[in-house]
Parts: sequence; structure tokens; C-alpha cells
Amino acid sequence: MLSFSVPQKEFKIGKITVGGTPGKNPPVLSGSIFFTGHLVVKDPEKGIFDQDKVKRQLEIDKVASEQTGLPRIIDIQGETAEALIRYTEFVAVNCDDPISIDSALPKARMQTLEHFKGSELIPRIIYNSIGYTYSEEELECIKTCGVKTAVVMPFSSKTVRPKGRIKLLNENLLAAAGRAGLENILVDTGVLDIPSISWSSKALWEIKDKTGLPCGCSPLHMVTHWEKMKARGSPCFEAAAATLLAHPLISGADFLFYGPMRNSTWVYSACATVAAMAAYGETLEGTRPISAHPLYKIF
Amino acid sequence: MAKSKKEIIQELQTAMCDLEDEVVTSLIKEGIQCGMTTNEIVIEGLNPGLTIIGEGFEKNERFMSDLMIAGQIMNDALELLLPKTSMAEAEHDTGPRKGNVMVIGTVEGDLHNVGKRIVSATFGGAGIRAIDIGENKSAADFVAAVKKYKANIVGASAIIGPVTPYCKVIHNALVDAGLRDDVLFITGGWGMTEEWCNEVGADTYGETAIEGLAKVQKLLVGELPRWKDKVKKKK
Repeated sequence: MLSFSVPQKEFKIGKITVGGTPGKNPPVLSGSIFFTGHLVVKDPEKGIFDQDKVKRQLEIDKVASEQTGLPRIIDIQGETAEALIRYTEFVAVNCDDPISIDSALPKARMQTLEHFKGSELIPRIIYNSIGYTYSEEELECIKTCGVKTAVVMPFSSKTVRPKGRIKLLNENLLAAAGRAGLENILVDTGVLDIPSISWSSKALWEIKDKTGLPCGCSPLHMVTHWEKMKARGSPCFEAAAATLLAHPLISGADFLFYGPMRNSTWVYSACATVAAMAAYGETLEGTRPISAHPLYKIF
Repeated sequence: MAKSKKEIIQELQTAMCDLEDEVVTSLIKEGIQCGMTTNEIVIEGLNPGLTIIGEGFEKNERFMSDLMIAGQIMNDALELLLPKTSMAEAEHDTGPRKGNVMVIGTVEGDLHNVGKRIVSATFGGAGIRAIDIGENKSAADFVAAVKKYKANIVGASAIIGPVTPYCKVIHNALVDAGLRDDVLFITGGWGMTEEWCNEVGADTYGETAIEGLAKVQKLLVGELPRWKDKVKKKK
């Protein structure tokens, strides 16, 4: 079904595996918490939040993950280092999954890494992300803190077309990732809007074909702005949104950032179904999925 | 046989509409060779195509990727045609300001640049020199840029929620520097409203680059009230 020119790399991050031969390992999902506007957050600067609500949300996400067989990464978003650190400490204690340190501000991400440097959390940490605006200071920080996994995002206003994203990755970002001492590179091809998810999917397929690196994107990135479909209400909206997840998965996505964790129930169901069908398709090529795969969980 | 100016203009319009960046570059070179002016190439050739894409975007017939690629094509075209109007030339320009000049940047704490580039390209296509001061810029950076490039328009891009209030900091800095009355202050980014714009002291805002340009053009000729006039009226 899916055929690539180079062998597909498989990375172990904490307790999960991402990437590998199509059809073998299930794709990984990552839901976000503490994002701007998340109602559980009381003080986004200091990182004060409703701990009970977050615990419940993490638990619901965990159940969805276990029921469907899709591993998870917890994507923690924060506006300041102080907040990110607080959030990360809480999540680290309340689950044992990998944690993505996600902020629009490089300084906040770097200071968070510095805080956890030398701790047993480091192998679970994913630096999110290295983009084309990276600084050498940032790469040095990642290296010094011993973080081995990062999301690399080859997207910019000059690299909108898939070929541009591949070029940016190959000619710039992979080398930068090397300087940061990274071993596990997860390529996020970026999503601009809903129609261009197809471009993101094409980019991820081509990157996998040329590099073998695990790839993914955030297909639900703009879904909250999809007013026309939201106006049709449930279940039209969720049904349409589910197809946004399917497109990159069919193109070979190894992971998806799916946005607010509150959507976990329908997101995991949709992705597990696509993953199961895709994996069964790969059995025609002689690949059998692992025993914990959604194919053996949802039917 | 060499193409006529009319043919080149026609082909530029089509190439821009079709987002054929390599064709645009080739046509620009042809145009330069046959003596076309920058205005002919940009305003008559590329801008109509950019306008069609922009209008298509408003009608949900063209999408964000189209807009960004078009913006980039325009940016590249301007760099090809007007290398001396880049920041490098502006650095050496010690005389009085020629025409309208906008300094535009993404505010402190924000690294997004997509919208800002499209705005720069759109304004550039309309003959307003747009000097992009970059991302994550402080109010002091904006003020310094206004002084340095003798700008009469300041554009502040603020995409992510937490940083949009910083636009007010920029307004205040312009006031403190005694520059606010001499510049138009325009803001842009997700979720901006007229009410918010008034609150932060901006003269106007644009949900899209084209809307922003239309409003600025009206402000420049006095067809829209400036922030100080709106404030006076309220009192």
C-alpha cells in the first residue's frame, strides 16, 4: 500500500515507539493542554491551573489511548518558563508518557529544559520545536540539557509548497538538529489551513520517502476557525474533522498533534479506525502489525 | 521575437494568478530588458494577479497557501526589481522621505511572519515602501525604525493571543517619542476587532492585507478618521 524508497526509521521515546515500517507500529497521537484560552488555566504567567480537571482530562485521554491502541505524547503548551515548568512537573507525576515542551517562545522552552536538566524526565522530553528561526543558542541548550528528541518543523512563508519544506529540511534543519545532538527527529510538516492539509500530507510522504524519518502534522490546527462546518453542528462537524485526521494518516503519518485534549474521544476513534485499515492493507505486503495495534483492539 | 510590453504585462498577470514563480522571475527579467519600469511590472503586471488572488481568498475560492505564495512571489519580485529599496538602501537614505514608507514588524513575544510578509508585499505592490523590521520586536525597535526610515506608517503584527496587548505599548511608545501624530498606526492579526483597535490606540486594523491597504489608503487622504479624531469625537 505505502511504499517508500528508504527504510523507515523507528524511534523509542520513553515507553512509546514512533515510526517504522508502514503497518507495523500504530501512529502516535498528541493532545494539547494548557494552551492559550484553555479554561483550566487560571494564571497563564505563573502556571496556576485546576489540577483536578487536568487529571480527569489526562485520564480520559489515557483511556482513549489504551482502548484504541494508539500511543500518546502529552503536548504541554505554555506562555512562560515558570508556567511550562509547573505544568510539566504536574503532568510528569500524573502520567508516564513522553512530554512535548511546546511554546511559541524559544526562551520559555529553553529555560524549561534547563530546569529539568539532569533529571530522570529528560529521556521523556520532546523539544517542540526547531523551526527555521532557530538560534545556535537554542541548539546548544538542547545539547547541553541532554534532550535527544525534538520536533523539527520545515515550514515557513517561503516554503509553503511541499518541495520547499523538503528543501528546508534537507539543506538546513537536519544539520541544525545534528548540532543539537538530537537522535530522534520527528518532522512536523506544518499545516496552514484545511485545504492545504493535502500539501502537508504530500510533504510528509516525500520526506519519509527521502529520509525515512517519522513525520506528522497538526491537521486540526485550523479546525476551530472552520465556521461554515461548525455552523452545521454535531455530528457533521466531528465527522468532517475526523477526515482531516485521516488524510495524513493515509499518507503515512507516524504521529499527529490533534489539538485540545478535550477532543480525545472522537479523535482516537477516528485515527484508530484509519490506522487499523491501513495496517490491514499492509498485510498484503507482508507486514504484520504489533499485537497492541488498533487493528486488534477496535473490532 | 521579443515580447511587447503589453504581452509581458498580460503574462505577468496570468503567471501571478497561477502562482508560477519561475515564470514570473523570467518575465520580470524580460521586462527589464525591454525597458519596462518597476511600476509597469509591479502595478500593472503583478498587482492585478495579486488582487485576483486576494479577492478569491475573500470569497473562499483561493486559500491561505495561495496568498502566501503570491505574497512571496511579490516579495521576490520587489527584491529583484528594487534592490535599492531594501533596508540596505534605506540605511543610506539621508534625504527627506520619498512617498509613503511603512515600517512593519511582529511584536515582542511573537515570531510569526507570514501575515506581515503578505502585508509588506501588498503594500509594496501599491507603491508604499514597506520595510520589514522583523519579528519579536519591542516598542523601542518600532520607534527607532520610524526615526531611521522616516516612516509615516507603522504596522504591528500580533498573531498569538498573549501578545496582542503589546500593540498598546507600541502606541504609547510612539506618543512618548513625539511621533504618534506623524504616523498612521495599523495593527493586524487573528481576532482583531474595531473595538480592540480603538482600545490599543491604532488608527485602523486589517483582517486581511487587502483590507488593511484599503483602509490605510483612505486614512492617507483623510477619508477615514484617525484614532486621535475618534478619541476627540468621543469626548
